[in-house]
Amino acid sequence: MKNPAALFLLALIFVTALIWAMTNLTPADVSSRFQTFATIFLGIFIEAMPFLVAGSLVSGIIAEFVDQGALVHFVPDNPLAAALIGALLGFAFPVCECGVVPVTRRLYGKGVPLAMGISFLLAAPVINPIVLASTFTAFGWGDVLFWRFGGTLAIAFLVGLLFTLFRPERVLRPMPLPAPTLLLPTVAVLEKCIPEVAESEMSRDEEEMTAREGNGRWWRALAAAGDDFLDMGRYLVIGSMLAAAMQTIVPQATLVVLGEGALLSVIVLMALAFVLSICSTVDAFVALSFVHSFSIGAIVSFLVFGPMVDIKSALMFLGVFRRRAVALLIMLPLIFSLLLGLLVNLYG
Amino acid sequence: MDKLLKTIVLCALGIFLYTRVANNTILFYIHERFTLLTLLGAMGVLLVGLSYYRQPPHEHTHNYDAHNHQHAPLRWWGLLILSLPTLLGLLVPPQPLGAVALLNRELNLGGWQESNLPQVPPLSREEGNPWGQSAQASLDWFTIAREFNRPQALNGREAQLTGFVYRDDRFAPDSFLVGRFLVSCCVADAAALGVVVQWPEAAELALDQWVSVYGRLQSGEFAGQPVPILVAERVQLIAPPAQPYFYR
Repeated sequence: MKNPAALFLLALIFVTALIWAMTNLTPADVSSRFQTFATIFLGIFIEAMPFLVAGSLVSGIIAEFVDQGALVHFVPDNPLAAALIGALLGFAFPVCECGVVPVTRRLYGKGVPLAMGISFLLAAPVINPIVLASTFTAFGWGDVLFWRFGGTLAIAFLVGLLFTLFRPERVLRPMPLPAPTLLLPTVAVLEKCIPEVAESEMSRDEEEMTAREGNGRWWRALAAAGDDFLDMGRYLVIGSMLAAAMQTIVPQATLVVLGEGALLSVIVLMALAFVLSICSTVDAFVALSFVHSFSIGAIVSFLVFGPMVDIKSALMFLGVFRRRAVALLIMLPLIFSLLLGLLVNLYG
Repeated sequence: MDKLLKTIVLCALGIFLYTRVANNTILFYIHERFTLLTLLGAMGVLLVGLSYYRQPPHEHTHNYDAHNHQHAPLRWWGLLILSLPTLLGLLVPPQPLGAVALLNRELNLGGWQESNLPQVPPLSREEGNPWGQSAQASLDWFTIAREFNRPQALNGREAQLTGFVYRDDRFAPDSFLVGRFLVSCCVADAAALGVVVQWPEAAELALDQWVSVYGRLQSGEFAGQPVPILVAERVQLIAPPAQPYFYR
């Protein structure tokens, strides 16, 4: 069977039956666990979804309204400057780790250099006014705030620079290629389906066309946003499911018991940050509850590493970068955050 | 067909989220302050879902890059994955976190900090007071929380707590835990709060049953930790509140 719509419907029926069976036919302890899993999954997804929508809309607007030539002209040639600007770009696009991925992908489509995109991707979820405010609210003016922002900036800048060692085509997944031949039948079909469109194509007067074109560009930006949401959303769904499954299956105590010592505590909280996949706008409040059982370095690593890499964002990276690049994008922040945590614990 | 399926999946998600906000079960999943955001997100996916039918059909002579407008055919499994939140939401009856979620979490019997707690305790306002005026002066969750690490200070004080019943093999037959979750963002970050209750008929209470417990606090010990224990005088079974979590 090659018809994707039929495959989709078949699979939909199968999954519906499976979920129904898990809820209604399994023993009480399994079904209540499944219910808890569903609640946590929907919690993470519903919480993150508006941010992904916002990121997709920004991306759609960039796609339609930002002129590629102008942007490339504006970007510095020097990789140092590009990485630095990328790391600070979050103040212009305040997005969290769900929204940042589609925006980054779109910026790459517009010809932004590799280093700048990577630094933006890693830094923006923290280096923005919203997260600055929430971290300040939770921890006040002090070490944690300083190390979180300084550390994130430094790591995003460094990783961005390191990526200049690679050729972009080895790092980035290819974008969908132009296929102009495909457009023509689409037009024909549309004209048949929607009389309004067909009509508009016929009566075009110069002024009227510009007006409609203005509206049309907005609708096209929205459709591009929709495609971005569908593209990235599936990684968000899988990531939220993994995080929810971890929370329902693995007892938190097994992680927390390990939480002593300068090195071990850092590793444990970083693992927790990866697994929990909490949105960067609020993770400071969650970190507060670790203050008395974990070292300051561990908390800093939690707040630096979590927004850069967690289960759901790591999966979303796969929509932009090649697999090896994703592995590097996980490993480099991991190593640097670990070192940062140790540094804070030993000398901070 | 691609376009139709995309529109259906996106709009179904938007409508599903809208209904959750409309019937208030959205509070089972996220902090109340994000409700508006969810509503905006739902409107966003509805709008982009419908946009596939409103965009002009072909490129004019503009300078934007054509390839960004190519809607790559979405694979069927991608759409299926995006239908999962809607399917799970519709097929699994909405229910707040309860005893099962506690099994996997650190029981926060000792680690309560003042900084973690909400400034204004919403308890008495939201839930009414099943015991009438007499219990007005009794302690609530937050007062207990502030003194939790000094159980001596709570000795002999009256308290009235509302929460769900939790029990595991560490509990004696005449005791259970009355629990509540404290949510700062969504249920993924829910922290469990709990007070050990002594009640002769504890064994008859079902897991996840919501109760309102009235009694006096006594310093005691649980799992080797000094904790306040609520010696119950009355335990009343109640329906789960519309707003099951505390928010900070």
